[in-house]
Amino acid sequence: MQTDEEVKDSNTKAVTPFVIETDDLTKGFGGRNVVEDVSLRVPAGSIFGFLGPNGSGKTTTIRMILGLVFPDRGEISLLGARDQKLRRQQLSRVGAVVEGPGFYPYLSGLENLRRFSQVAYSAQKQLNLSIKRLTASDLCSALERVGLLEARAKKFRAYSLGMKQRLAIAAALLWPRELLVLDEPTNGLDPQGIVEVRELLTGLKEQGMTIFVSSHILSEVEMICSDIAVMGDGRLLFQGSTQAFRGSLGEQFVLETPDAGLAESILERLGLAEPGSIKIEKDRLSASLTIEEIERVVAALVNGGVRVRAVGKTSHSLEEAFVSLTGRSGHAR
Amino acid sequence: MLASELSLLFRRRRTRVLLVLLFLAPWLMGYIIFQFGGGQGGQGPNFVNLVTHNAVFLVLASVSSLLPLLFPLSVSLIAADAIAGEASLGTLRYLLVVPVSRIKLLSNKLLAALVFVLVISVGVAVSGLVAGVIMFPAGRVLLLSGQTTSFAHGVLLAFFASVLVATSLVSVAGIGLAISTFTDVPVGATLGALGVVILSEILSNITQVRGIWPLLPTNYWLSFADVFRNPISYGGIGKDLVNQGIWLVFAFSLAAARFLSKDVTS
Repeated sequence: MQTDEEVKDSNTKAVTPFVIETDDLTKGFGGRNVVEDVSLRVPAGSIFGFLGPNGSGKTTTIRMILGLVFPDRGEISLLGARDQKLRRQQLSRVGAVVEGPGFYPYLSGLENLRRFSQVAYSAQKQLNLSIKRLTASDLCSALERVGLLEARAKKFRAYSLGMKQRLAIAAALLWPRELLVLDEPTNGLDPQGIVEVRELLTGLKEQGMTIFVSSHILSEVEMICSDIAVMGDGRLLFQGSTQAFRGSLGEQFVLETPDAGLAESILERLGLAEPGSIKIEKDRLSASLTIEEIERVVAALVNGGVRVRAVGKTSHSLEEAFVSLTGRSGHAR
Repeated sequence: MLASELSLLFRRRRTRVLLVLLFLAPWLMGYIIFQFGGGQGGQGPNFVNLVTHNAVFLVLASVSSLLPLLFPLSVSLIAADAIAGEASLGTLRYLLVVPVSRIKLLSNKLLAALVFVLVISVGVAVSGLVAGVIMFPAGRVLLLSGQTTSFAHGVLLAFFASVLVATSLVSVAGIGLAISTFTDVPVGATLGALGVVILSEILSNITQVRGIWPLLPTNYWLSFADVFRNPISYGGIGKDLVNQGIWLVFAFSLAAARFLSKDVTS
């Protein structure tokens, strides 16, 4: 029996702007919920940052979306498909890197890609999907895209962590995809590699792909993400545009001045900082402010006669963000 | 998909080393008998004392000495690797998002293990025949029931026997696959499957539990020797086929029930 709401849902399915939708997704292991009532909305065409510290339930959520783990409760819609079997079918339009690379150590990079392309080919034939049989040159160009062409004949076990990570991305992009799900894709990469992954993702987004990327390091992904969700302790703590996320976080405002005491009184007079939230060390004052507040404060300080030597802002670390978010979400464990 | 599974299996160095060792067994056995003679036969169908009379019996002596332990060990190793091995490498999650259906993956893993079973038993037979012909006479074959038959017919019977040995091992392949779906540690699954075989062999020597003997997967394992009677006695062979079939269906059902509802967290 379908309720009215479900009928409405299936009618609007085709035009839904979300590539991933979850409703009250819940999963427990050993009597403890590792994911609880997570309702995600991943807009089509976005680079969606799925953030949270290790152990916050990100990977379990991703595994449920990909059909690897079965939820205890809740609904999942992947590219418009809700039914479990249809969702599996939709996976052929999804590339994924889940919790690090997984390949056969005794096969070379090229042989590994061949193995997955063969299995994918026969799996998708079984689903009556049209799929191109990949040739050796297709596989080589996939390796070339991630800079592994030279190392194609090397055994996977001899690859460095960064090379393994890049091979996983190559495997996820063997066929054109609509959605790319990447769980911690920058783990083990050096700064140069992280920049390359960011560039790759931005390029893929421009080709129209939606990218769902998880990370426990905010700074690695925040600059390319249009949307962000934050997990903590199995729950969704924040979901929205990156701009809204930055706004909600506030910035650490740092002022260097010999008149720190005067500056503090001006800040308090403007009502921008609660007494006690301002820290002063010698000629250095710091306070938690939003971007807009920082813009107003600088003018007020100069007008108030504060001798400003330097003004700066440092972003909150993700850990600080979690503390402030968990505090705000009003539930502690 | 089966082609991919087979190439994964047989390209692996571990599999190849295992095959070489198994295929060398008849040569080692033949050489020892060649040097020191066949000796006196013990109880049961013992082909060792017949090897010096005819090359064909080296095939039978080899498979019957490998059957109690080394064949089940090899099959356990391969079958138990099916799901647990992919899980421990981290490749299982990637296969499933490809997206291959779980039942299809499981059936192809079973088929690959069954091909492996056939390869080791027929391979050992071929290797044993070559070694036998080099070291021992290749004349008319004396059957267990007393008559003789031509060498060519004897060779045919030996290969028939080796195929029956392969069918005797399908229960081990099934049990290994089933245990493989319960763990992410391939060694544990191997030991589990081998443990079932050894337990079955122990129980088949305890007369107090005679009642359950027909259910044991190893109970009719020596029935392949009945091929060397004239006429061939199909009683034990038939019972073994039924027994193996039941174990295979049971084990695969268990594997499917477990794997289809399993949370893949590896």
